[in-house]
Amino acid sequence: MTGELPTDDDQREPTEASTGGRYPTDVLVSADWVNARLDRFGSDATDLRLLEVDVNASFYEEGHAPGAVGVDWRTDLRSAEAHDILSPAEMTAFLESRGITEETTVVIYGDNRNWFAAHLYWQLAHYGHPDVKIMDGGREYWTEHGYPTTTEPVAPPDVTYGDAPDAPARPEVRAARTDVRAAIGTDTKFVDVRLPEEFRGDVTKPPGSDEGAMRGGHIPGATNVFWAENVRPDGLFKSHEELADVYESRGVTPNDDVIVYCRIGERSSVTWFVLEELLGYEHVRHYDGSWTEWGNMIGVPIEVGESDGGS
Amino acid sequence: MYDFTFTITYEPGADEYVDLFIERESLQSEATYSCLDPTELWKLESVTGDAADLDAVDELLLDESVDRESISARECQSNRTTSLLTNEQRRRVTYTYVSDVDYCESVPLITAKYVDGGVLFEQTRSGDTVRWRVLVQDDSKIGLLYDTLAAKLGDGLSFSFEHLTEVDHWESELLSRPDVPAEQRETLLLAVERGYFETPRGVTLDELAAELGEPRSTVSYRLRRATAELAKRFADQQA
Repeated sequence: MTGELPTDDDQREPTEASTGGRYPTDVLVSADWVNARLDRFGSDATDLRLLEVDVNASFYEEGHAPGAVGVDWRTDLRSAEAHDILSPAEMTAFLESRGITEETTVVIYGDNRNWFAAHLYWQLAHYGHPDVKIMDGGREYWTEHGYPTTTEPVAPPDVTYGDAPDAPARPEVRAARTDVRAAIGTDTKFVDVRLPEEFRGDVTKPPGSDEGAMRGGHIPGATNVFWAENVRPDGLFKSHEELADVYESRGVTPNDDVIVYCRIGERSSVTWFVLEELLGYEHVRHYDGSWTEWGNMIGVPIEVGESDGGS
Repeated sequence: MYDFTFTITYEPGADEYVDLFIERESLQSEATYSCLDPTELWKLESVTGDAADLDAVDELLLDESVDRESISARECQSNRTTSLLTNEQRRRVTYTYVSDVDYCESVPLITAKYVDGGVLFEQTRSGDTVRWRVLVQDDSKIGLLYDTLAAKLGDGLSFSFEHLTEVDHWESELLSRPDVPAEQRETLLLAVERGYFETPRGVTLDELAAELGEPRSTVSYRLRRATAELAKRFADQQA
């Protein structure tokens, strides 16, 4: 998969040639940034760790960035017993299993423009891991642009995660159903990132999906901003100006109290990342229960059809 | 085997090839696609319509630089060759081979990343709508495909899921399409079944009209249009 890096010349829309300098590297790094550090990612050193987490779990075995440790969201990122995100103890065990200590810089990428990479990023933010970054463009950008891949298995070093969390360090990034219910009818802006046909309630259970809901529609007053509006055609995040326009043109502004959600809480992690980390919104909560919870609950208000404007 | 069917609707100006179908109502296209892995695909496309409308299609249809595959804002990064197999007054059939794909955000090639070989794609175009029917052995990755395809769409395109069901019939008549609208076909099939074309006639127009619940004049008109169309197509094929 090595080769020359194609230029962007033949794309229909003019795009910036590089991710360099677009966003602070404390939250988002480019494929070039990762490529320049592959030796360190592939070593037993614990200062840097690269993780690949895909929606389609079989992608990792077909080829991954050298040194990238695989994560399976179905088994690694959720607590099967509690039907919840990882508990503090489970998160610590997960991080240790991937060779990550409290001092490790964790860089995450994945398929579908980083859906589950963003979800893991959000969980790590929730538990307060100090240094986490997403690789812009994710897995597709990496493979489409000829960066190296391998099918070699990666064995991370044995480590202990010191100062392990026993509670979320930043509970304010998460919204529970009670928070959502309390916010309906207030100034809080709900951002629903699903497809318009899901938002309207035309589709309650997407084809081939296990994650259905008894009812279709959206949380009353929500604004529909499809998650893919965050990215350019080549999969990199849009520029700061473009992203700001996507949200502010829908009346979702930096000082608003915002709650984002989708179907199972993965796509809305991307939007949470954009609002919280790239645009610097002040109060953004992620309702990870999302539509599989809200659309199945008894007695909660639901709105169907087009958005009423939301602002 | 499963049938995953969805439509993509195009706003005018979003795609130059679809624009022709929007501007010229007689045009219809049916295509069958296949690919074994995400590096190549091939398709057979049959476009039918009035002669003048088809003439207007030729330029785009045979121009190998025109991207009729991508559904995103990015053109495919690949090689493309197109051959004209049939050139009739009211029909063109082309074979297109897309190879050496670095990336190509087309329905078949996106699907090939998720579903291993054996997938067949049927595509119909009419007006602003492109309807896709994806036939797969195993539906376990269709949920992923739904989310991925819908997120790739370029500006002016919108996605609408139709159904995911076990396959129980095959509608395609790609190479022998009689080019008769559905209501004419229904009338014609019933007429044949009831013996309208036998000597002596096994049924009258009034009886057919009663059975179809349509006025006699409508049934008569549909039968004349359908038989005229079939006769012209027959003549075309003899030419």
